[in-house]
Amino acid sequence: MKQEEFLQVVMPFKDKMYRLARRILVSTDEAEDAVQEVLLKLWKGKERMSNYNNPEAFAMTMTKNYCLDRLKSKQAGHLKIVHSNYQSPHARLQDQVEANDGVRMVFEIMETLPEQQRMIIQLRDVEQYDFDEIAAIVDMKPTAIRVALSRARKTIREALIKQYNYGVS
Amino acid sequence: MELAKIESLLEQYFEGNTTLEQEAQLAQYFATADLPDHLAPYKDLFAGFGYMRQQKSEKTFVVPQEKRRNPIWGYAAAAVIGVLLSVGIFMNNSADDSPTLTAEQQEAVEAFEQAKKALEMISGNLNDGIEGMAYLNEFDKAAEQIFK
Repeated sequence: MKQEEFLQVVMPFKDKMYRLARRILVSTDEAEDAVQEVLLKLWKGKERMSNYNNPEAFAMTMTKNYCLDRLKSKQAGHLKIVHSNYQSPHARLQDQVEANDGVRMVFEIMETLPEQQRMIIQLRDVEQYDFDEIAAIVDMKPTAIRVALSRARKTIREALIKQYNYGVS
Repeated sequence: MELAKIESLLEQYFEGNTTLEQEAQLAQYFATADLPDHLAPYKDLFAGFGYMRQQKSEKTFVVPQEKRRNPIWGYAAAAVIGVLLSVGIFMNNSADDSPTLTAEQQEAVEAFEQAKKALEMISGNLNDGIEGMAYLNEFDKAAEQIFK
């Protein structure tokens, strides 16, 4: 596989990789580093990737695995935390200038969800994958995915309603 | 869409039982409709997912260039062939005159032998140098992976 061909395969979903990485790692810098690393890995294993019938699911799985590993080693304290995660919610939303409080709230609650729920919400409600694709990426059964998805959605709903009532009263 | 249908879809949505099509219907409804108060918070929910879907990285990700053959090997090969050819021709020419050697010719042969030795030494050193270059290339490759 030539570089050009490789880019043609990978470019359509590189933003999805980035968004998944960002959802898991939160920091934009770390998410970018992760995507770069995963792209290098994919490039090295490109012969295998061309045999794979769904390169996108393969790339997303690798991204998920890489980011979870990063998170683990960070939590275990083997890694210095280089990037600051202490941005204000506004800074995190640089690209969503007109976003209102409710939308900002959705972003914030997302960050407080357990990683697994965060990934599933990302893959379903943001990227709109079907359950079989999500099952392949996160390596879970569709029923378990539905349960996690339902929990995550309800958590966000509660926080939103609370915020809304607070804003109204 | 009627309110009752939206409400039941929403119910299903929070149970994780909606299809992608139904979820698209919901998103569309909350993006466009004039909402009753009790449904207002959900507007932000679907809008939030919409924003997240737009996020992109400004960074250009790089993929390593394809391995190109190092031109130094081409030059080295050409140089070696050149040296071998000239030495070969020289040896052939001098071999013809070998039976009857005048003092002058003997001197020339000696000079040739010395020149040959010197050339061999140089070519030996050159090869050492080239091996060093290959090593440097490896270093470059590693450095590229780190710094890119």
